[in-house]
Amino acid sequence: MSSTRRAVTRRIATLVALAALPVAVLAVFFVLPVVGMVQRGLFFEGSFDPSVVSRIIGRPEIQRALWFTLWSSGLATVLSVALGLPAAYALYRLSFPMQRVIRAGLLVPFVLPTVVVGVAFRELIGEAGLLAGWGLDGTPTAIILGLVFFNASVVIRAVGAAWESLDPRPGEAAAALGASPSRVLLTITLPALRPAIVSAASVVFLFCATAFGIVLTLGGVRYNSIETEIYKLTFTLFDLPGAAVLSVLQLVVVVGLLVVAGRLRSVPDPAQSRVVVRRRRVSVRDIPALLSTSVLVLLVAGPLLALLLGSLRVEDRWSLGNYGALQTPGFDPPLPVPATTALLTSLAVAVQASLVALALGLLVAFAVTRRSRSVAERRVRSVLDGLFMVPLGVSAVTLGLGLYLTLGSAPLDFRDEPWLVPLAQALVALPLVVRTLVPVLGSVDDRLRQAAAGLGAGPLRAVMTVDVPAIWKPLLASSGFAFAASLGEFGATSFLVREENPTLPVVILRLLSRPGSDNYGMALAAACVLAAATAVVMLLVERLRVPSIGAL
Amino acid sequence: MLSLREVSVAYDGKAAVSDVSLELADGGVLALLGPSGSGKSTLLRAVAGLEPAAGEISWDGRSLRGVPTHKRGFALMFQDGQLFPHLSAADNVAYAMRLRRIPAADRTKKVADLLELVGLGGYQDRLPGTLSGGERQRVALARALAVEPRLLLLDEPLSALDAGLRERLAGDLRRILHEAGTTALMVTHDQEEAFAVADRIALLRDGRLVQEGTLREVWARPTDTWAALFLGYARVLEGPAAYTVLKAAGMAPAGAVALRRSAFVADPAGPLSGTVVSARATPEQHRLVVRLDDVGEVDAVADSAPAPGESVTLRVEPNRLAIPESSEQPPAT
Repeated sequence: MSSTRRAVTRRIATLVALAALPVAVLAVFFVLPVVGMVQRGLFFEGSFDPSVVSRIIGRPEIQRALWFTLWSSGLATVLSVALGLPAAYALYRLSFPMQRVIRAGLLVPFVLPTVVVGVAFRELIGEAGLLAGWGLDGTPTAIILGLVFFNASVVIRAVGAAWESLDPRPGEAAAALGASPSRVLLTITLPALRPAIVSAASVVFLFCATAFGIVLTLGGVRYNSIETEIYKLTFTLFDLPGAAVLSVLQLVVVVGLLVVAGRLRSVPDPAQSRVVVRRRRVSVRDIPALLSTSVLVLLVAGPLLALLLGSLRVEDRWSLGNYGALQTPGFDPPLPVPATTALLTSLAVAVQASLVALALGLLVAFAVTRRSRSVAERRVRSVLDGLFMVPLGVSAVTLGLGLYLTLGSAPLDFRDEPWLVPLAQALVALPLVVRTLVPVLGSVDDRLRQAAAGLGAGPLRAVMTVDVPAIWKPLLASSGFAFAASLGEFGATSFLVREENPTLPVVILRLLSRPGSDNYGMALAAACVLAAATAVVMLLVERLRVPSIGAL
Repeated sequence: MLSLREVSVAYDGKAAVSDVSLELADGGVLALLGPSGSGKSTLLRAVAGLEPAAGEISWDGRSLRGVPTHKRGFALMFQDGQLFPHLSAADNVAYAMRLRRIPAADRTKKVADLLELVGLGGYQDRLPGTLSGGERQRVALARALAVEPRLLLLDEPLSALDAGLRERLAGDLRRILHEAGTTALMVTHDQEEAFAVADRIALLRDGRLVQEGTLREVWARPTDTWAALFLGYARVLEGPAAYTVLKAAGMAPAGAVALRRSAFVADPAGPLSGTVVSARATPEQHRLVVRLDDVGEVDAVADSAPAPGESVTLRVEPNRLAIPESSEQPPAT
């Protein structure tokens, strides 16, 4: 009896030990800032005054931002899914030349820093762009195209991974029963893909609704989402209560969306069989899917080419001058540091951030996936699991603002600490890491661990034998994700970064906001460098072939 | 009537099925029997129109070339049923009827009849995930029968089930197919399943047709040693051993003889003598392995159990052995 009790105590002690550090970090650097902000937003001079809240929400520019966020994100999500589905089919079910290159190429936007995407679109459709005649600059169309550019790859990745291994036999059985190909698609294939599609669509909506860099660079002064409005209220108007109310509003909307998506995602029978499917050669009836994929390729390649070409031009001549200027503090007014130094800062910060995210993510993943012996224990684990997903639902700008506001005074006066930026970026990347590791660890058959224990392996040895071989590839992949996310992270960083030590995305935005073609050319070159750095990391990750974002 | 003429299927230049010619009359049930990798499933998929095939596949004399799967009027049933997981049992069965816009009332009635036929009356609202393996196969069968297919294609319909259930369902399957008068082509690697369900068997090896005929024909005259062993004969004796055994059975000599487990029976008056190597009791009889003089080890049955090492005499049951076609002529000596 007492030995059982001791075993239970030990299990709970292990759980607490594993979860203690991540929970503490999350509490101080995430929950506290967010709660602090809620307080600032809802309590004025110590008392709750709903009239202030309603007055802030009632302001026309905030209503405009709210409405714009909803409809532009909704439309961009629909378009991303509509363009992403045929491409996922063509890239993961068919076999044709150049397929690997196209697949890798279409995934590049997902990892590009939003600022780079914004710059690339401006270069294509802006005043001096190739498509300036279309008059898209500063219109909602440009923002929506930018969002689709960025997010179609999420749909391709998530749905493609599911579609690639989807058992073709139910469809074949339906065809034999007399269902035409389109009928099979509607009644069998799409319902089977529904979890992946819903999951991708909700993630895309989330990304669109919290897109910061794209709206900031493409929306100009006329169009604001909640996210850019928070930024403007804080830095241009110094209206902290307004920003806080807006952040809380966004938090509520996003968490609500995650709950709804979780409901929609569940299917009657989640145990879909996964098989290795031989790819089919292209036939006549695949032409619509291939055409749609080509449109997407153009949409993705156009801005990137425009960005690359633009960076290579100085005063209407081809030149590497813009790249050369990256080593200097730049033109009037000069930057605090050269862009190359900012790149080194970015890389160093990204290494630190991904290490922190990885360490915390591993602890969380192990704590969450250990098998539970009691209802209470299972409940604790599932609460933990949900808790570490919340940073995904809270926009980076909210997090940055929260940290900026709450960590400015003793005893938590961390605002100027050099480690605050990597830590904030790690928190932004943490859900990605956790979501990559948890499904893998969860799918390790617990009987394998028992078998190892039965053969005389201690707990640590059992982990080394069973879990480590299963997890090392996803671990590498998720560190790549964390690294790329951190390299491009901009929302939280822009609040926390120290003036004299900026990261590359921050430098790009600063360059953009200055007049003069010199500064603009430098911004283009810096964006190319940043894009190349992230693309290299992500292509390495892609080689590992780990389904990652699909698990969101 | 289904007819295949010199049908070949290749994957990436490697032949999976080569030059198979077969006919299947209306109302018949033909089993494509072969080990894994023999090309039997590929052949079935070619008939369904799921694999491009060379040669001629035709129905009632009309070629099926270029006819897509959904216009062939065949139904397909897989090893694990492949029920649509998001639809209830009734909706699965009604799937094809919905495609044909059969009115809802008729549909409900027909679904109930079909579920009754496969022994699942009242299972309409169950989701596939809540059904056992056998029940799922029954629903899949009802779904396939619902279209009243010209030809029912069955891909290892019982292989995923455990032994007892497989036997029961095989009997049911045969009854249901015959009651419905369905023409069926079944793929299986299990000769017992083939014998239990089909009335003709086509034996495939390495993509080629080895033998085809009624159950009785195939069983009585396997093409060669490999066919005999695959069809379930316990041993094949060749050369002098075959002569000795056939002589003891009072039959004409041949180059080889395929023996069932019960081809030898312990009999004090038997013509062959040998030593018991091992003995094992089964509920019905004792099964022996006996080393016969001039023959070698054979299987035998006995009513009592001699101990290993004891001498025993055996007689041969002529109706429990077969002479492979390839060795009918005694080799010249």
